[in-house]
Amino acid sequence: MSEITRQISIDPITRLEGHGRIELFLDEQGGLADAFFQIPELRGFERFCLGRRGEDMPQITERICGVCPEAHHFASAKALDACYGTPPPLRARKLRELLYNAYTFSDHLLHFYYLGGPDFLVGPYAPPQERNILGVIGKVGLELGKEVIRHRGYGQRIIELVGGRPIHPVTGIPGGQSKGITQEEQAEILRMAASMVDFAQATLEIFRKSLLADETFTRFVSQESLALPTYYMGLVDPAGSIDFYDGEVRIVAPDGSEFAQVGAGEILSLIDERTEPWTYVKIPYLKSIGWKGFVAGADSGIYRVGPLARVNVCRQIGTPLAQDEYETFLDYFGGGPVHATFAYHWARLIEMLSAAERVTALAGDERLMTGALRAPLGPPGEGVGVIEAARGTLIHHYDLDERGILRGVNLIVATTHNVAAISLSIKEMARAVIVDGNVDPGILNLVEMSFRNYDPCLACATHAMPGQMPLVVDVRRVDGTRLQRIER
Amino acid sequence: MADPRGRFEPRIIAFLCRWCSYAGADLAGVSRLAYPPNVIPIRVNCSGRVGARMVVSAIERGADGVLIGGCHPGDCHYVSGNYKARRRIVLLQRALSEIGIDPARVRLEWISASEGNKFQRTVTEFTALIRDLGPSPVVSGQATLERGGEHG
Amino acid sequence: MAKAKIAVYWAASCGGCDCSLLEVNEQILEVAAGVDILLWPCAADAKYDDLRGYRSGEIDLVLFNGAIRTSENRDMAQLLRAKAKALVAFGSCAHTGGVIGLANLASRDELFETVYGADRSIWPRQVSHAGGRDLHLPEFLETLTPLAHVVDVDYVVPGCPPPREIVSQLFSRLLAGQLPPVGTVFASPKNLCEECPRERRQERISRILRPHELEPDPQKCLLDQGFLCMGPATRGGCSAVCPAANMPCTGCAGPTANVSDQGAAMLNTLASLIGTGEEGEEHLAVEDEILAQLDDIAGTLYRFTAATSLFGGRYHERNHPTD
Repeated sequence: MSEITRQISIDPITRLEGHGRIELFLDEQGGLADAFFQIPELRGFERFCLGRRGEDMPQITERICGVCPEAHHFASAKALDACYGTPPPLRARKLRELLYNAYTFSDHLLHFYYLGGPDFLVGPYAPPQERNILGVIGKVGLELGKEVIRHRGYGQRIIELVGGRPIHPVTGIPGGQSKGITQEEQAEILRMAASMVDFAQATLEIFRKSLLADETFTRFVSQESLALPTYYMGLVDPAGSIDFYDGEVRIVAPDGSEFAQVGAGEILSLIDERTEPWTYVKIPYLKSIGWKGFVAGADSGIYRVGPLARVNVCRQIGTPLAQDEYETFLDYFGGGPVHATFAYHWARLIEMLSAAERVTALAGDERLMTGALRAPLGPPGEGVGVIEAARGTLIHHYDLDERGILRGVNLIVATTHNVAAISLSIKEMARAVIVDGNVDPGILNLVEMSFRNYDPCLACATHAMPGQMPLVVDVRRVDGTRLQRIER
Repeated sequence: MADPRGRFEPRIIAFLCRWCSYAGADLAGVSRLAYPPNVIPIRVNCSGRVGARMVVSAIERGADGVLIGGCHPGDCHYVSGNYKARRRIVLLQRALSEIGIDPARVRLEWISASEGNKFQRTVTEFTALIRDLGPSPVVSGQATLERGGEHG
Repeated sequence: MAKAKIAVYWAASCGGCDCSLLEVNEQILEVAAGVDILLWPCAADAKYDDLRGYRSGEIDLVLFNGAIRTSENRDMAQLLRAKAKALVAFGSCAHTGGVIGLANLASRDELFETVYGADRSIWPRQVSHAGGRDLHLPEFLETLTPLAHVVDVDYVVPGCPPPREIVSQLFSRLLAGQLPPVGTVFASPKNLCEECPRERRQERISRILRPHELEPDPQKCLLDQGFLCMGPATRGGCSAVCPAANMPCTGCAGPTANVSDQGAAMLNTLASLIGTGEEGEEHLAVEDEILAQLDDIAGTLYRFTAATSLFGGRYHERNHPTD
């Protein structure tokens, strides 16, 4: 093994949610010997949720993340629906879906313009002070900048109207929603939705002009060492379309063949995790394949979640405009599954468009406005809620005692699934761009760009506790009838 | 608080209402009834004046036990202060047991102005109980470093 | 006039406070034009080394969100205090420890055991070896504390996260160069009931309702209806958006101006209100039944302030263990 002559720290990593650090070890040739992705934060939700009332979980667990609180809020509400054996009435479900797609739109917009996008919209070698949303606005102009702000505001406004607050919503309760929306609010949402679809398309246009037509981006897309042939995981509806709010978990192998399609209750038993002493985050992998180290391939249990994974596991997107974009995407790569990590940026914008289309369809649905908002609850028990956060599959699993107090909790939180892949991506990028010991700030930013593909949420990632709980789960259809019982 | 023999000496704060229990304490004194010196009496107008905050504050500052003396049901000078005090102490005791503090460290007792004997008995029993429980598991000042005011 | 210099930093945080700065929508463009943002890890690329290069007191305003959970959080608080002219405890975690202060109800070892399992040999360590070198992690402190427990704080902006109107006011004052006197709390000194539009009659509570048990009357006070609303013990300034959404206030803005223990204040309120409507010995048994409906007192009354309270702790009776 070559001797390590230098250690470089990127501290902290920036333009993401959460705390992280990258340690790079260089060898005597000035190339990469090793790289470590360290997460130095932990808050311990899995512990202090115990003993709390079940119905407080949507508001407590959403404080795992203030960028994607909606994901936790509704994964939690869905878990409670299951604990009480009470699916929400259709009106409540439609309200939740409306909010949820607005959230997906908003979060993906945030990533492209504020977090990961600036590297390409302004340029990876631009001065650090310019590699941010303000630099983006400087580049694209104030008018477009205001459109960015306005449309993120629309997504947030819909969350506020349906959820009560724009950050950390409150309306998710077991078996329903605490309130509905008024006719005026529905009309406001419809107006915003139309504009959101246009803006999503305009964003894809910017992507085509500033990224897809630019060698700075395409060189990373086409570089083989940066394409990781991993497994992929995401939710699909019964037709095999992407569904952010609900569905079954589908896992495909690197060659695109189906590895598994299971209900929420079973997914926990497919995953195992390992700890490393140099990071507070745990590292999940597919149990039956096994942990083979930080390597990709069909023999390694490493899998990915999030936009690229979702477009890889689905049979179609599920909405027409996004489907067109998806077909262009597949043509570009010569079919799926697409392993090029930088394709996450493209997949994310396809999803942003699909989310806007869904908001439009849901906002005009009259079933949003009539009917019960909540259903009477059954007795408390155990339940699982699964949802697609912007960053990937999110699972909340609760065990409530006879008073409805939480006595057991498992969480698997989107970015956690990606931790192994992120580590691998960082290492491959560092290996590719660090030559002759050159680690100027521009080179180090390239290394950071490898994780920004994933839109990581590290506050989320350090809260995951895949299954040690004995489990009996009834998976129910929307109408409450039992689809299957899973015991482990 | 240690005595010369090295034994733990409980420090007990007693909030006593002036109309009933404080008068009962005075009567015990005037009658020369002996009781342990571990109690620090604090006179309040009514047991209803003693809120959760005062009891919590006493525990935070190092009290091993807190005694609240009020009028018998029906006798409260302010009609219902003692009933409110009772409900507060019930909730507080449950909250204390949630965090691992023995709820027996907080006691509410009805002691009338004529019950000097009852005061003596209560203080004697309570001091013995706290001595048996040992020092409060709360180290004085640990929970609330700089409290009060806007900044924490 | 030179542009003001500001920094935004997150300690043990969820990122919601950082996002709340964007809720002002277009005003953020005025802010960007009017100040230099020297550090904001969520949104910009300045690194810790850049921060260390600034002079003492060079940063006019530091917006610090998140609680002090690790040694890195603590060290950054001290570093930022040194570089700051004015330091703001921004958001509930920096102000009172936040929801994550509930972690203080268990010991660090108990928390690690839950997260990583019973085998201590695999727990993350402050110093470990990998790839031929040492790797470091910050120490996970035994107790979580708010910002003011480790450094002097000049301003407080309460809320989880602070509401849009308050953030906007803060920005306006910053841009005008008119920060209020040191010690100002950017919220109402009074409780939430003062601004909640629901009609309150201070009814007695004969049954404590959980939020999903009944669809509330939209006009009436939630506490009157039997829902556990922290409004009476919580600072206002947020327009009571949670009660407007038919959900009781959970107390995220912390206690009112003259109260240091929010949970105890609320406990007193509940004790006064719980009852049949009449006082007397014959009602005590029924009262006890109602009181017993209050589960998880510490987690409910101290949801956001456990870290500042006796009830943010786990105690052990040595002589007669209760656990």
